[in-house]
Amino acid sequence: MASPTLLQVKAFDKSTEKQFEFTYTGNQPVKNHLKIYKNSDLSLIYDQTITTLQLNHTVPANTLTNGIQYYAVISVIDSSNNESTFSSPVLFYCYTSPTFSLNITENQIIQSSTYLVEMTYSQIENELLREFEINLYDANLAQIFTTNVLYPTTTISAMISSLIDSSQYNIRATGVTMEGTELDTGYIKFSVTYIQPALFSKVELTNLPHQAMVKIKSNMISIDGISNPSPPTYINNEKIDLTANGSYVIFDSGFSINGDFTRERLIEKITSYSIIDELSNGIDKIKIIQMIGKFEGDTENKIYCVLTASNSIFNYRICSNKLSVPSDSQQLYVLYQRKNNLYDIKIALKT
Amino acid sequence: MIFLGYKSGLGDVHSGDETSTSIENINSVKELNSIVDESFITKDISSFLSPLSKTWDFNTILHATYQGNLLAGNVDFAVSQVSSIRIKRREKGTYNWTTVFQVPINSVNDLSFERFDRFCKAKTEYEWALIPVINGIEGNLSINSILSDFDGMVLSEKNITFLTPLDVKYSRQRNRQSSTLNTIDGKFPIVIINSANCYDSGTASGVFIQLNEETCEFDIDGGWKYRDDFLDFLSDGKPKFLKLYNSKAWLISIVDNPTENNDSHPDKVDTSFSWVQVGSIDSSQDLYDNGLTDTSSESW
Repeated sequence: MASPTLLQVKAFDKSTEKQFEFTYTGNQPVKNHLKIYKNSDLSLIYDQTITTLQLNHTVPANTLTNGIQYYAVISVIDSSNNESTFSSPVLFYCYTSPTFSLNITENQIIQSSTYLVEMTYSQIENELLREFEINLYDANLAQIFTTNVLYPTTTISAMISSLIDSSQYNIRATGVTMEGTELDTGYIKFSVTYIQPALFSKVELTNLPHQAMVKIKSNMISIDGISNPSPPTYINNEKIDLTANGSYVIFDSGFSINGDFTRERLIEKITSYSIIDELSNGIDKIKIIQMIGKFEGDTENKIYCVLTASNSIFNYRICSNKLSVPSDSQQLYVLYQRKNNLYDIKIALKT
Repeated sequence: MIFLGYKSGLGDVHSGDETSTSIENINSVKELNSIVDESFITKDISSFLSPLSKTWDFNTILHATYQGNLLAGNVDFAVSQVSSIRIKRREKGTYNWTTVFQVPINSVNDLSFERFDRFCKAKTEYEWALIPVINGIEGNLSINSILSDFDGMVLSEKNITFLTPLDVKYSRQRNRQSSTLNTIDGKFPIVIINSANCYDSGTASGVFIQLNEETCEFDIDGGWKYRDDFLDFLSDGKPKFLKLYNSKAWLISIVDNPTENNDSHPDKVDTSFSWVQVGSIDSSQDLYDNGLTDTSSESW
């Protein structure tokens, strides 16, 4: 009979059962016979024959000892009880399962757009790590970054950058030890949340063909209003008078409003039934109009404000509370807020 | 709803709820038809009771007090939010940015600066973005674009450039490792490619004479000095950025011996050299590793 060929055996922990696989071509084998020797003194540690048609042999857990090098040979036995010669020996190690982890824990919140991911590896019998790889995935486990193969003799860390605020990611490291044990941290879910800095600069670019360079010039943009008339009418350098027909102040550079916000204005001498405040992105608008009217149960006129938020689909309207009509010198707080694209508005006299 | 009534056609508890209305990127605030004392916008929605606290913080967007001016920002506070500004570049229409500079910000004056990008190709439209950074966190992008273009051949290191538009010639070869095995019993050989190597190499030559930018005349008499400096530059052992009029560009090292000859005319000295590609011009890491930028891994 031909002899079988035992396949390479990767290092494994004695506490787990291990399947030894082999190839064989010849009469159908009904049994196989595995012998395991301790390599240092050639003492026989394991010698069992099992009945199976499959080309493998499972060694039970706790048969061997961690930290020891062994070699194994295998033969097959056909239905006539003829045993083949033994295969060529295959060397292997038993090692205690190593610890392999990253410095990110499940559900950790990272408060930065960059993070230095460090890998930790240790093994009791000092088996070395051959290589490892760190992969970053989005919340749907689509891979968005890989370090490719890294060697622990060179580095044990990798910088992940461009993490987006209020996003969820998964990170996973895989590795292989010197004796072939495969390591995997599994997917580690983490979140990113941070406050983004905001600065509005004007980028001026100039192509310099004679120097084969491009000049990049930065100019800070401050939030500086534009008025009509210009200059506007200041009152004691404390207030601005926009009551004249056609007068306004507009702020249109150096900022951008997204998401939730609160806006408060302190105003007086309001022109009723007119727009007193308008926020826009060039297409859609949020407008505040001051109204006046006498309501059921009231004995006098009351003022209130109407907030209208219009985009291409919806036209949102909400009214503030009512107040008695203030005198021209009385100051009024107009306060409105957007929260999850829902709006609220209220007015109050300054006391 | 008024006509149908909540308890007729719209019986559900949320039938009368408002419809959320999204208006993003608001960049214009207009005030009119009143006397205005104070105007304020914040991202903070924790309080809805007047008067709000007007202390500038990370959430404050705008605060105008109209004390003889129309200013509504706080540059000093903006500076305190920013440790540096990153300048990134990408070819228009592509996704990945390459960090080319990181400018530290310590005062308001630092916010106005100029930088020169030597590593952009000819006939290529690029976008540059200025990005404020604090503790490694990147903020909003201010973006502009321009067509980068020039004539001739250009060789640059981080702070020095030599260029010429005269008699530029170049050649390139794509290098990959392979071996061919001829078997005894097969008609065809077996090709084995075991290496990931895949890089360009070649030669380049041109007449290097300094151009006076103001007069647009070449300094022929002083050409020998310029070429001596260029030969020193070619021989300094440092990686370089080679780019050509036709938008080709490589991160290279000079190999073999640069040579000069003036076969056709005593003042027409042709300088030629051989090069090998040593990295990718689109890789922030390769540019940094080869000493062409100062932007380390934290800013990529």
